[in-house]
Amino acid sequence: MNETKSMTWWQAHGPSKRRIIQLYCALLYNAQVKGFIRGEIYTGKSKMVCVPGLNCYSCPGAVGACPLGALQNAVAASGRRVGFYIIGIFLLYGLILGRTTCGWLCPMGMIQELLHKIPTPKIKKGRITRGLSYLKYFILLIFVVAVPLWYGIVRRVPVPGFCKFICPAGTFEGAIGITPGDPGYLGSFGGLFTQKFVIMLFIGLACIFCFRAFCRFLCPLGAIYGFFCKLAFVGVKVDIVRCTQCGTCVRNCKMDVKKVGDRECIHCGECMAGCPVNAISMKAGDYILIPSAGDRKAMGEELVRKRKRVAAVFWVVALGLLGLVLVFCNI
Amino acid sequence: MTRKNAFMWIEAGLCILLVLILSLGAIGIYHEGLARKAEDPLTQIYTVEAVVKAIVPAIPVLILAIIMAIAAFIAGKKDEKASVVEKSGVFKRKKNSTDSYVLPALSQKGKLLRRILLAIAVICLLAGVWNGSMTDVWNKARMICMECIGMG
Repeated sequence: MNETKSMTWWQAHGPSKRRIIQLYCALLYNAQVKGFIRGEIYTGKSKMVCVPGLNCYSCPGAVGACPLGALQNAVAASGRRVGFYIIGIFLLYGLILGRTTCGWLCPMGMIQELLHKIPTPKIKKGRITRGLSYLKYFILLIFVVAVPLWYGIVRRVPVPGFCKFICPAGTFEGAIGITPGDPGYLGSFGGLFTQKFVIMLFIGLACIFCFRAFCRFLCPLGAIYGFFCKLAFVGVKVDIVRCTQCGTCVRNCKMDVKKVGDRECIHCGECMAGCPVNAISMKAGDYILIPSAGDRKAMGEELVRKRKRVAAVFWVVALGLLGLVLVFCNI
Repeated sequence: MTRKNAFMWIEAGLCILLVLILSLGAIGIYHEGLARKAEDPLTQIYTVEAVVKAIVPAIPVLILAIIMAIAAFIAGKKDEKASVVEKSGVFKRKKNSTDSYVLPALSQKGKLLRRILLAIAVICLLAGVWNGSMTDVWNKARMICMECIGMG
């Protein structure tokens, strides 16, 4: 509480850097704002590029492709063409970012965290939630691999199983996003939409009570990125020399982690503030992206100022890119 | 029970009620639409009027939920007992366990494997451009995905 009093109002109550980056990504992935007004999706060449997070490509604003949807379609079409592109995309994003995507770059993750802010009693993590976290691998195997494979190769009709039967992003961003702009789409909704709408509502309810319920228990994209947890270039790293094995990081973490940086860790960096020996920092390889308090003291003021200047340049470039994409996609 | 906790429990009930109203509304629209379709196959299941009719009962619940959320926030501020970090349940370590809370640092072999896989990733991306799988992604993404939206 004393720490809060010494901060400015904005530092205490404003959005964190992570939230700002999440908002930035949500806007960048869905830059075709006019699509929401007109009820039409973007058809430009940028839709060849898969965004790293879960963002339905049928969202009227989406300017990139959904990696999970692209994967399911590639699996369904594997009888006639090997999906090298999507294999390359997953390897690239997994090796560079891993589950840092979930914590920093995924719009669905941001929506779940905002829902969790609704003030209700919360379900804490435990053995049951840890057990439920294995469900997403089952969903990956059945709905992302087996169903598209069966329908694509045996029935010769491509069916993205996860998108069709479970994904709340399609219902929320796609169906609900496109209908206000063009109510004519209502005529095409039937039993499948009803089923998906109810699933979306219950997933949203689960996220209110349980932190990132979709991410932890259902999202196959997080399951895939979790396979790269040991190899990912960017992520939260612990200084083994400084670490005293007190377990504060694991205790305070809202995800079902057993170790910092394991397959359940989304590299949000929230554990950094709670570490009593400042052993946790966010790194890209050996380069420190977000230093711990201890690292910051060791760096000296000159280096901290230099890093702030570099960060400012990155933000200018990022905002410039966002501005260009917004103008290009909406004129 | 503090005032904040009381408001939070009421908020929880309201959120569950809101979800139930919207779910039952959607199911009701579907069943009524099916009945109308049985009489006239050309009629739509979902119409603007049906959707508005289903949403109207949810509006007062939503407004009440927003009021409760504000009340819980104000009560929490007044109580000034909000903790900075919410302590979660923890997995009980087995007795005498020496499991670390830290993943081991990536070895040289691991770094080499990462470089090899990155090279494979780049090759796969280029192969994808060459064999048309990148175009397949574009062809799918630039059309409305009926399964994703729930059409049909």
